[in-house]
Amino acid sequence: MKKKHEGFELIDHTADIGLRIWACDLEGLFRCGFSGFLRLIASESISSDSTRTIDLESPDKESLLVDFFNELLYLVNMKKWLPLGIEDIKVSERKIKAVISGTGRISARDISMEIKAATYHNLKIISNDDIMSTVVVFDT
Amino acid sequence: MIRKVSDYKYVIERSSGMLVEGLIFADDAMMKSIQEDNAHSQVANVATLRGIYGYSMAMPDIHYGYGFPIGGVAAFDVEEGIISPGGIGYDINCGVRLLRTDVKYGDIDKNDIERLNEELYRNVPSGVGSTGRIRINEREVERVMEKGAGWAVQKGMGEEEDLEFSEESGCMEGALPECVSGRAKERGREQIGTLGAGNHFLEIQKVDTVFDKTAAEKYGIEEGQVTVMIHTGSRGLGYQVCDDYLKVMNRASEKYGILLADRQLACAPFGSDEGRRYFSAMKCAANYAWANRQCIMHWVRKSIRDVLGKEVKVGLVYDVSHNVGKVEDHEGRKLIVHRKGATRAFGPGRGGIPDEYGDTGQPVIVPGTMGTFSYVMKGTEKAMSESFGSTCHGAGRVWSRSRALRSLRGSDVVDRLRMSGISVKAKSLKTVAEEAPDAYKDVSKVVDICHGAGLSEKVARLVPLGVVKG
Repeated sequence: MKKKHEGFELIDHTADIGLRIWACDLEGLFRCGFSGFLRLIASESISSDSTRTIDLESPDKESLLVDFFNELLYLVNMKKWLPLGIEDIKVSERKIKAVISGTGRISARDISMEIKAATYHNLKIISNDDIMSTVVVFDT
Repeated sequence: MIRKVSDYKYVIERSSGMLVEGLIFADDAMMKSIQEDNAHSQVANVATLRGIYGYSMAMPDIHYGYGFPIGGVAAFDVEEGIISPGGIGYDINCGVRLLRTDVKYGDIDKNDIERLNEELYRNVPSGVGSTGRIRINEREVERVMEKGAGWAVQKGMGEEEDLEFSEESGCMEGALPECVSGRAKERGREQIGTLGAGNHFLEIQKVDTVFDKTAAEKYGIEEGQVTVMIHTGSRGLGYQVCDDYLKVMNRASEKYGILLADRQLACAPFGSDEGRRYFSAMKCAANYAWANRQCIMHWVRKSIRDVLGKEVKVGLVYDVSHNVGKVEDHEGRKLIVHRKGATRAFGPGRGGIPDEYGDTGQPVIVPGTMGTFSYVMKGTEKAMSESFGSTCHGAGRVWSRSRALRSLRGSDVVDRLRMSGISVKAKSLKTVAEEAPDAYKDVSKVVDICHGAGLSEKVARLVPLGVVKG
């Protein structure tokens, strides 16, 4: 039943790209965000061969979400390591610890677009009828 | 409430927290599309920021961005006002460099252009997350940040004269590497001399029409001449500086009691420790971008000489930045002018432009899209009094990337461009579809509005012959 209440969709933004995500709780929201991010950035499905841990602390949950995405972008752009799945994740209002599976065996063709960063533009995680949702705009 | 005040000016009246009015340079049709895009609401948001002076402005190529609009210009008093990383953008000192050659189209043909395009594609690293031919350590990244384009020239990648024909001579003073995070420096190690992806490009062009012979002569431009345009910025280093300081500014906004209409407008008083450190880090990223374009120019120069002949002269018309913050004197005040998707357009007699262009005004390089014209304009006196010496920066998007992908196929766009005689080399056909001319406003209309409003005047029009995209 829970899955019906989780998801993501890409939304139009004139110059950039928006990602709407919704879930029953914060952890689900980050999972959906991860799936949406993957849809944006990975051109086709490839297999994981390693894991990395993301351990972040931020002033509030919105900043935590931006920091999470920007950490994933750093792994892609700087470490040439493509995140592909979440093995384990623990999220609180200000902290996230996640074990991410992915691969460093990628070529330029595996990355479908250059995202500069996740932004704070109008960012607010809202809770309504037990559903948490937000829209994150990425600068592309 | 928006009211038209003249043919090319619309004022957004003050409301809910706006400290000054908004001012958009547009004609009726452009204004309609700006309102449909809701970009004017972002002009109004910027008008709420502390210490804003004059108007919160937007150029005709304005479109909806994040926080500040793209195409926005906002000036803040250095004593009372703020500085905002979001008002400059992630791609700090994204800009355009125009190279002139002494080759006329006619002396070379389509096959030469095809070969040159191939050579540029081979010599200039491009594409998503592209890394370069140059690998440097962290200490060397710091030198790049301190010296800007001069670093590349010292390494043999350019001529002393190149530095003269660049905004700030390719290096802003006061860049302190200690204000830049280790992660930003790390991202700078492998990306110097890379084009990147998205809207960045290299373009071989021909001067198609000269509108102002005197100015064109000063800029060394004539009809039929082959030119090359480089559009890129500070790459991952700049993105990281912006992201790092947005975090700092989110805390600072709270600390200094600054209310924000949008968190992406996060800022700090210009004179605060946070403000000064960001400004210095921004200069580091800006200098990295100038070095980046200088390295690319070096490989363009080499490619041209390898393909068209060793004796070909390749000089720099000018290098402009269209995402940057600068302290400038306007109306007797010292202001920190934020230009995000806007180009400086200093007029004749104003300091900060090369001596040779002193009587003419600075060149303003306005890139179009892959299949359309680009323009060389000149800065004006009127821009100094109307827009803090600013004008447009390009065509401005009208379609989202998803809409472009839904509507067009990259291979069709390439075919269409080939039919128009434009050679295209691209790492990604998806990027080609996203960046198709259909996704942008008509650059000629944008330029005509700026010309009509007197913010910059047309000097020459360039047509694309070959394009390299990431």
